[in-house]
Amino acid sequence: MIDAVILRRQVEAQGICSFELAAADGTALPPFEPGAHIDVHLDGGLVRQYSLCPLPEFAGRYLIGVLREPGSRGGSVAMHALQAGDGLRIGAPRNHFPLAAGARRSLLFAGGIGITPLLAMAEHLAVRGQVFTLHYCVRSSAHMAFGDRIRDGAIGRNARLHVDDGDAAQKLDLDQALGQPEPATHLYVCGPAGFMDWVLAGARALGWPEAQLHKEYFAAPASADAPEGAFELRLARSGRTLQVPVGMRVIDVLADAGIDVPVSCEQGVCGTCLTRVIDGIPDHRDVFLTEEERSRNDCFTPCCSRALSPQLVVDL
Amino acid sequence: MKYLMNEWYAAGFSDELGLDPLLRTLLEVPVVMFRGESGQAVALHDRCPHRFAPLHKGKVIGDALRCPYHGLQFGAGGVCVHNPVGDGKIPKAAKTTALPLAERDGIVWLWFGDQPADESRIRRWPEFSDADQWDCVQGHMPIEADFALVADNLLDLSHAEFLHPNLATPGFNQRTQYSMEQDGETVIARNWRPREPITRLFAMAYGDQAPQQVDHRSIVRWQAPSTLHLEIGVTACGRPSTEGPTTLQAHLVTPTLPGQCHYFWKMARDFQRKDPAFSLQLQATIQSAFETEDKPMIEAQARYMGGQTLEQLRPVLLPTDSASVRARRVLQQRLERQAAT
Repeated sequence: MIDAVILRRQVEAQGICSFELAAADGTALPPFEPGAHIDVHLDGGLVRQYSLCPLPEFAGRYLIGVLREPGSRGGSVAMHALQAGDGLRIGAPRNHFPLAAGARRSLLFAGGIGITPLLAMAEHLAVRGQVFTLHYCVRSSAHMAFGDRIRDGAIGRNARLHVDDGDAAQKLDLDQALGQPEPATHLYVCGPAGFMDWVLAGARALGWPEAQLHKEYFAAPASADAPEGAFELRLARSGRTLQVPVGMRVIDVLADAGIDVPVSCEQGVCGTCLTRVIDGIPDHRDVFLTEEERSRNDCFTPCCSRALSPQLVVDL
Repeated sequence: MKYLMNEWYAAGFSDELGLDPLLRTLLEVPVVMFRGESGQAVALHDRCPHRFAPLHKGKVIGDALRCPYHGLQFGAGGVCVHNPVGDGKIPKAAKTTALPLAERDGIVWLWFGDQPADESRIRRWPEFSDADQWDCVQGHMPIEADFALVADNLLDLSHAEFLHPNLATPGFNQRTQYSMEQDGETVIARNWRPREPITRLFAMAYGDQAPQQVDHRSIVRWQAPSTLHLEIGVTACGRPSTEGPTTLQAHLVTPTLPGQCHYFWKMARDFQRKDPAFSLQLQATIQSAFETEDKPMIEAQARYMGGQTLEQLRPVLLPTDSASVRARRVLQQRLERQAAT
């Protein structure tokens, strides 16, 4: 976890703010590749993922774009309330949306706030003289974040801006934009789920192979909305029910109840304590399980993980 | 099967192959490699099909290898191309197994699998053949330890503070921001140390103008079976990583016999270019660190493990082990998939 500070908060479009972040101790933040995101840890245990799109001269600092979603469960509203000078804790950058190596041409499709990772990718490609086109779709020109940066910058010639309420001529003709799939052409899409599904379905209908389709959903992992809450632990074998209060680990609650689960690292690295989950949704806080294993929700590490559901039924 | 079969394994460097046959036992198969007069590199099972003599003790004649015992000659594809006895008739069975061999980026790769060898799957280091931008040094050594222990060592660079005085500075683990991620079947370990006292190695990179402090990054990208791509570089504090000296490295670990492996490393650098004396010094520094610091530690570790696996011995693990744990799990999943097919 890195202590960061907001250097600048700027309104970029209707409902969208950008935040420039630096390390609180004045050192450089870790380098990252285009497409990478960070976890932002907010008060109350909220964790949100934001893609990084700093200007190239921002070495050691980050820029994130945040859409305010009043209907959501609070992360974006809490972010928008922050001001320059406020501190926040962030994770190291991770990249689940990397540019494919050896691509001859790249097609980037951004819907709304989905522009952030694609903006970083487009600028990266432009600097290296790579062939690409960025399609950026927004509801109205008032909703277009980073418009000037795109139009006036290195990627301007390769960017196509599409506004829903604009004239028909500038709207995105998806089939034409996609064209027939070619072996070394890669497609990247990020935005609202409906937009992404539309682009991906269009590409698949034209016969694009899956290996050339790259996508980043903004769906947060399961732990996103989990404050450090209390929950109930039911032990299926004995039928006992234990309460896991705030601030206490599952293994400690089990130990107090006389149930010994073997542990080793006690921080979610080794998987020694892996326990089968029969019902309920774990809040995975380990690094042992892969993303795929986490999503099955059929086991968890009681040394560090908790529950998202009010009750967790385990095979103990 | 304890090895992942349908993958490319590093067997050596291109410049090791010539008219002198080279024997290396890889995946428990004794393999003889040579480069015939036409320049073609060949890898053969090192056993003559006639009386099972070791072919590597023979002599390269043209593009074929002559058995040191009765003079049968074997060429590319493992077929006998010459029989010096009697009328010289070549029996159909006079054939040794040839292993698919490919050379990329100065590295010799071998394929032991039963599926067709797919050269597009060879992991690439284009920098190694880009002499306009990069200079390279390389080295290798046998290690008396399971190959996975060597990969573990590379995925957890926190050991550098204690084992490698030239490559790290005191207390650097406390200042390291470590993270692990998995991208498909690639496991990535990142270490970031902003405003870090410069290491001796990178002070050498700068020469006389070395800054006292730098931002230091090391990024390790593991892929099965045991190939690791390392990017280790520094830059002036707060400056883009592209500005400072960078090394891009291949670390390739190939099992030989049970409990033994062969470790190949190759490093491209973008600093102190076209300087053969510097290359010699750098090669000696790196090879010495691996040979006199890592190797004895890994071998001692292996001896104390006494043939038991890491899983059986249940080590206490630290957060910086998360990448090696993940890499071992990916490898295990691949082995299970292999067993199922």
